[in-house]
Amino acid sequence: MNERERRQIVDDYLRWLAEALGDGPAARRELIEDVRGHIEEAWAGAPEHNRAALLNILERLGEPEALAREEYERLGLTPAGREGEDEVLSWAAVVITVVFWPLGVVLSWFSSRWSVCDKAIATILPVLGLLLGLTLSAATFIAVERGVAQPAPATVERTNPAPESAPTAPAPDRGSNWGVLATALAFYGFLGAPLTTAAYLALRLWRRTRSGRTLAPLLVGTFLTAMLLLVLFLPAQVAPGAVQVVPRPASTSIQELH
Amino acid sequence: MCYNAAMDEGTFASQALITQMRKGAVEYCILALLARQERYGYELAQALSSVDGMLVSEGTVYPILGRLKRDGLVLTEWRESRVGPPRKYYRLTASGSAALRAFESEWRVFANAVETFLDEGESP
Repeated sequence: MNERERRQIVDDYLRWLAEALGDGPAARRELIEDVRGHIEEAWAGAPEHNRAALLNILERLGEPEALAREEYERLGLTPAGREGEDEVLSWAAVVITVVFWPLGVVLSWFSSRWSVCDKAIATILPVLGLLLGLTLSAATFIAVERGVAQPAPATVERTNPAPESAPTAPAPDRGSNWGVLATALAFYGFLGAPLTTAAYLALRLWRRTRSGRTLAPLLVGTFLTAMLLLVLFLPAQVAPGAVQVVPRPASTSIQELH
Repeated sequence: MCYNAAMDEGTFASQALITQMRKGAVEYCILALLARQERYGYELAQALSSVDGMLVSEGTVYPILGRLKRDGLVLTEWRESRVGPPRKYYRLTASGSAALRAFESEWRVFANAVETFLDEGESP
């Protein structure tokens, strides 16, 4: 085992510890540094310098969750019952994010299982999704209003009385595709972004809660399947009534040329 | 079957009590170790884990040391080491020594009292 591999294993252990500590204790940095010092000290004094010796050191240190529990208890932050409540609150926040994301996101801020960074990402993601959805919906609406893009095929005949003299340009597929894409993205913004947020929050609970190893893969799997279905079936639903770009009468430009 | 269940419950209750007692006592064991000489974290972890049942795992000594430091019972000081990285040494403060003395006298009285009744229970 070379030095790079050794550092990798130690860093992984300390990252696991940092995740187990979450955002809660203010003294987490000092604890992590103490544990790092312990590992270095034990390594310096180890009779053999191989992978097994390092794993033995980490095993004697204990599971990061056990250290985190001890830290919380010594800080008086999570008396026995509180930990369970916190866990239930966290999972509730994940599920509620799918149904009504503003409430789910607010709830996530009351849990100590996520870091401030996680909570910030979970707050920004659905807001960005909402903005994306609103912007694209507005753009599509304006495009339809201006006659650049219109629902096909009902309005095509009415708005596109191509003069016989002028060659009728075929309705470009690009316009239709743009409409489908914009609608799909808008739907993603409204529905997909909260799903992605919930999946992200669930993923971050994977190692931070006792139930995480069972619940997190289950929920993330469900959310990803829902996303996949959304992506696969939404365009199909949108396509028949898709907005379609109708070219302006070609005669206009020809007349202008004359 | 009911008897076994009751016994399990009793074992569980006594285990929980022992765990709580150990958690309370280990802080004073650390203070006692520091009363003799200043020590660094790894050294304390080794000393405590050499006695069965004192620590859940070596790493759990650090949250306890953090607590003792926050309570002002110990002080820390970094010193260079000849063999490896710098070491954080812990030493007792005046309030740490006072807390240890208070616990020691209380503990001896309490342990003697419990011993008396346990001995009575054992004698025919």
